[in-house]
Amino acid sequence: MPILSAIAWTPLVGLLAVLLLPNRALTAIRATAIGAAAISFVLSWSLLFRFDRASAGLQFEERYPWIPELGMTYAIGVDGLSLPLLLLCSLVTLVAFIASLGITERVKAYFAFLLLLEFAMLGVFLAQDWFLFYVFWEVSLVPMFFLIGLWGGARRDLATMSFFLYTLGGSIFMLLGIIAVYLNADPHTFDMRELAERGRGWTVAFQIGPFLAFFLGFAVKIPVFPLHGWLPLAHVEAPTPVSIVLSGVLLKMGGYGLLRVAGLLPGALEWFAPFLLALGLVNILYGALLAWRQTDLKAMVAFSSIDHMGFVLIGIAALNVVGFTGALLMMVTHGVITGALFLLVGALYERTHTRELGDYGGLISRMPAFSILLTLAMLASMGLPGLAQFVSEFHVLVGAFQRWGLFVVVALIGILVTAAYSLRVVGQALMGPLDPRWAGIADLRGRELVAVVPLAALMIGIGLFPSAALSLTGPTLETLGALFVAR
Amino acid sequence: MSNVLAVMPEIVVTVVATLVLLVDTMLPRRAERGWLALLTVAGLLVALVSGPFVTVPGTAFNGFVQIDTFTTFSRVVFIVLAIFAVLVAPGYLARHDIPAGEYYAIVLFSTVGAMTIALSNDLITLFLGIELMSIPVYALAGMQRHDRYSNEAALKYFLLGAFSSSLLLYGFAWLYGVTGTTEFGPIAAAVARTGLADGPTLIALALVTAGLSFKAAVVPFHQWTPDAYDGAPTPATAFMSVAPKAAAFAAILRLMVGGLGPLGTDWGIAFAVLAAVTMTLGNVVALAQTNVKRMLAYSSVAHTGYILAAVAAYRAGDSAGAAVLFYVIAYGLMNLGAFACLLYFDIEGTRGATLMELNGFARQEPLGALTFAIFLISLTGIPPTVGFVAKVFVIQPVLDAGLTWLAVIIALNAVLAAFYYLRVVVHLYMHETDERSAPIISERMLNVSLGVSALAVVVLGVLPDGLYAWALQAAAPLVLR
Amino acid sequence: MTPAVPLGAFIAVSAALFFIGCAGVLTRRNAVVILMCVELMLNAANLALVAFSRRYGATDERGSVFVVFVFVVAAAEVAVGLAIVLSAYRTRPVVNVDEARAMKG
Repeated sequence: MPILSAIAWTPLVGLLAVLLLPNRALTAIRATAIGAAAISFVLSWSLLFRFDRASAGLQFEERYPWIPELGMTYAIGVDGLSLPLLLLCSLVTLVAFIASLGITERVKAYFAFLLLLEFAMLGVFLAQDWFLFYVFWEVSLVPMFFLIGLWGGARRDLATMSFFLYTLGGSIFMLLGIIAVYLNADPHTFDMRELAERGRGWTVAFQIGPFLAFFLGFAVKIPVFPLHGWLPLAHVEAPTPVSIVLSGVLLKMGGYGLLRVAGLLPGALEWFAPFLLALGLVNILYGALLAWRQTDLKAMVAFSSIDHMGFVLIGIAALNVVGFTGALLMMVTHGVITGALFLLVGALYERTHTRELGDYGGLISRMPAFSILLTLAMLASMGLPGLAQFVSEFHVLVGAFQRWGLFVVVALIGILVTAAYSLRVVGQALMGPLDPRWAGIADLRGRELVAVVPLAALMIGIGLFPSAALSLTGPTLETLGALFVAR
Repeated sequence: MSNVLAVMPEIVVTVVATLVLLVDTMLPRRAERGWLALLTVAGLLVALVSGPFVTVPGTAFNGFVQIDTFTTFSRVVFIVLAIFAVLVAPGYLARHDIPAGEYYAIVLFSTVGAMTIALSNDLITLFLGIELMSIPVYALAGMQRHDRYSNEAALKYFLLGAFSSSLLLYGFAWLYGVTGTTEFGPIAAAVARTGLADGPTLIALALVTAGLSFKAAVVPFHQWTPDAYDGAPTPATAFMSVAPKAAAFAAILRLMVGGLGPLGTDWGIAFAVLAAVTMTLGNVVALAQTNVKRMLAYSSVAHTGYILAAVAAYRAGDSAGAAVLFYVIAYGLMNLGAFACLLYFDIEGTRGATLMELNGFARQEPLGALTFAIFLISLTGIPPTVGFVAKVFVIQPVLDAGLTWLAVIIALNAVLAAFYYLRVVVHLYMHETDERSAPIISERMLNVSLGVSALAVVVLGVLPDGLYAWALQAAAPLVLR
Repeated sequence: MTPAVPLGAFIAVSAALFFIGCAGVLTRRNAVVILMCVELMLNAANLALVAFSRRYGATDERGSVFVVFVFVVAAAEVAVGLAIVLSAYRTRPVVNVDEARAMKG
């Protein structure tokens, strides 16, 4: 059975099923949508039992001609680079689906768009043809546009337009880069693997142009410092499940793309690495400081994403296996942690209708489960040893230190600031005297626990047994790291 | 006899047009005329089918007519656009008291002209085709006789159209003067020998370029476009914005690439600059519009620029020609659809809805709003729609021809355009109905034809392969090897 | 009859007609006058076509054929054009194109 196609297309089948259901059949719509996401989830995690951990190459490949005149193929597959993100995507999206049970307005359209979004995101991580990759990348814009614009907060018009325009503004240049690379290959091809083999022979002078075009597309998505303007707005206005998907998966598409391009245009990446390091450090400091200054809890988590994605950048800038491993793992662990954080913040907002940190206090006495989980997620987010993010931050820092030496110390400042605001949240929201307004507040409900507990388990699991995750990525990243001169 | 067979589809369409006029006059004045549209469509379908069966490739009428893969492809494009334009019209025509029979006949006559352009192999046939295509459309713009905007649109369109025709004709006269022939093949041979050495050739080239640019609405020859599109009755605008443009590009491919291809290095760079200016100006001015119909008028100028960019990339060979043809059909479907979506809004006179008048449309007419959104997303160039693949097919030859700067301008324009297209979607979906919203009209024929074409926009966006392969074949006879 | 008048003279007259017509279209404001100027331009082209046709006479007479077609087209164009001008005059009794500016933007 073509398992990868089954994973990717199940949400689309679910989408068609949802569209055929009557508007009023809310339970059936929700069940169908969650069912489709769950099937995708189970199928993708079942790959763990079949994935050959010793191989660096593509596995479970599928290949059909699509537009043969221009060499576009429907080529999908997974390797050590895409599998972890595929697993993350199907998990976080399932969590978002469960968190979406609270949506009561235009339910059918909502689940239809969310399923389309999942289809597009899975496609991005599965595509092994640059054109197919781009198509999935762009398709993800449309459902996101409607999800923020229809179910968002007060300034949703502005949020959704700026999200769309920023992303399109970056990705359209990526399209130019893809076509430029395609035209430079002889014979012309969009195939990722073939291009990567040819690309190594190209001069750095040629590689720089397409690389910058690619980078522009990815930089908006990650987001890299001056191009991050859409992110806080989109996060604050988006409904909780959309925020979970946005920071948990969508931002990772940028980092994933950058790692793929590292294999395609290694010469240009080597040329660009100092800038990448600088951008990464700026991201860390800027994100951490802005997160620290926020009093709106959701905005704080949004800015912390910028901070953590900075680690991905410096991991890639390290140009060695340890750095790449750290960057990839960082994306996975950040996806898990930030998904949990948005979920918890959303649950709190649902009960209190405020996101101001100062409004809370002493919640631990009324919401013990919530408090434990929030504390766990905050500790994981600041990189406490034994929890998931520590492993990835450690890899990133070791890798980057090997290449860049003491520059990396700047990143440590970011970690300190992260610790400061994370602990402040725990202290102010959970400890202290209970505000009488929240006397009747309820702890997490069953479905909220179902959504967040798997994420929490992963935070601990990866933290304690990182080798389980590292064994997936090892061979692929070894091959990638071998392209660069070790230092 | 073989001559008659060669132009069978054109004859069929002409006969149908005459038939529609005759039937129309025999009907009582107040009779229901909706089914005339179906008669017209049936006739067009006969023409569509008759093409492949009776015509054989080759020249006819002593070299005046050339039947090749390009002709066949273009015929299908023009007939499909005419069918679409006829199907969305009946409700509007009845409401605004526009004579339906004449309307359909005019659309058919214009279609014959467009088809004539596609089969021309000679300046005479080409000029005849261009005029036969244009003159009916002037009348079409003025069909709403008691509306001053409609009259103004017709007047401006006619005066500038006639002016551009005479520029073009004078260019043709000079072309004949310098080459001594009116047939494309010998023209190409003659200019290949001489190049752009002398002044007269340059004059001919400049006049022909200006004349064709008028017809295709290339900046700075676009000034008639916004007023003509804005003032004409909306179904007429939907037709006017696509079929004459498709025909103009058929003429550009036939004459500039097929006949004057050897001078490509000279007009290529001019077209590249014109393309960049056209798309940028069209998009920038469209940004400032609050009336959706006028905004779409300017956006159609911008799309002219994208198509022209593919023409300018003629050096890339077949893929450039195929890009033009593919974009023309993609543009035809999505732009006609977008204008036709304005027919949902019942607004006094001919002018289209403003952004505010669209508020809350998605709540009242979910499927109509969905089709409108699909057309707009396609015009923006986002997958999975035909507008996206069309843009990729254009960028590919543009980069292949080494016009990197033009590709970057196309990319920047895509972002600019996204802003105003999506603003419409925001008003459709994300604003609630209020006192400014326009009353909505829902008709079955409009719903069905828009639904089918929106579906086509998505299906061709996911599976463009067949159409693109066919476009490559159609472009093949035009490229000089 | 000998070809007393050289080709250049015909072309010069034709060019003059064309530029007069062109200038008229661009400067005059009366719709009917503009239409007349367009006709002038078409006839300039006709003259050029006939003159060139006589030069290429032996090998290619399509220039003369072209002129016949142009006559037909021009007649059709004028018929439609005058109808449009008339219709515009009925809704608003001016033929001055400057007055026709209800639409802007």
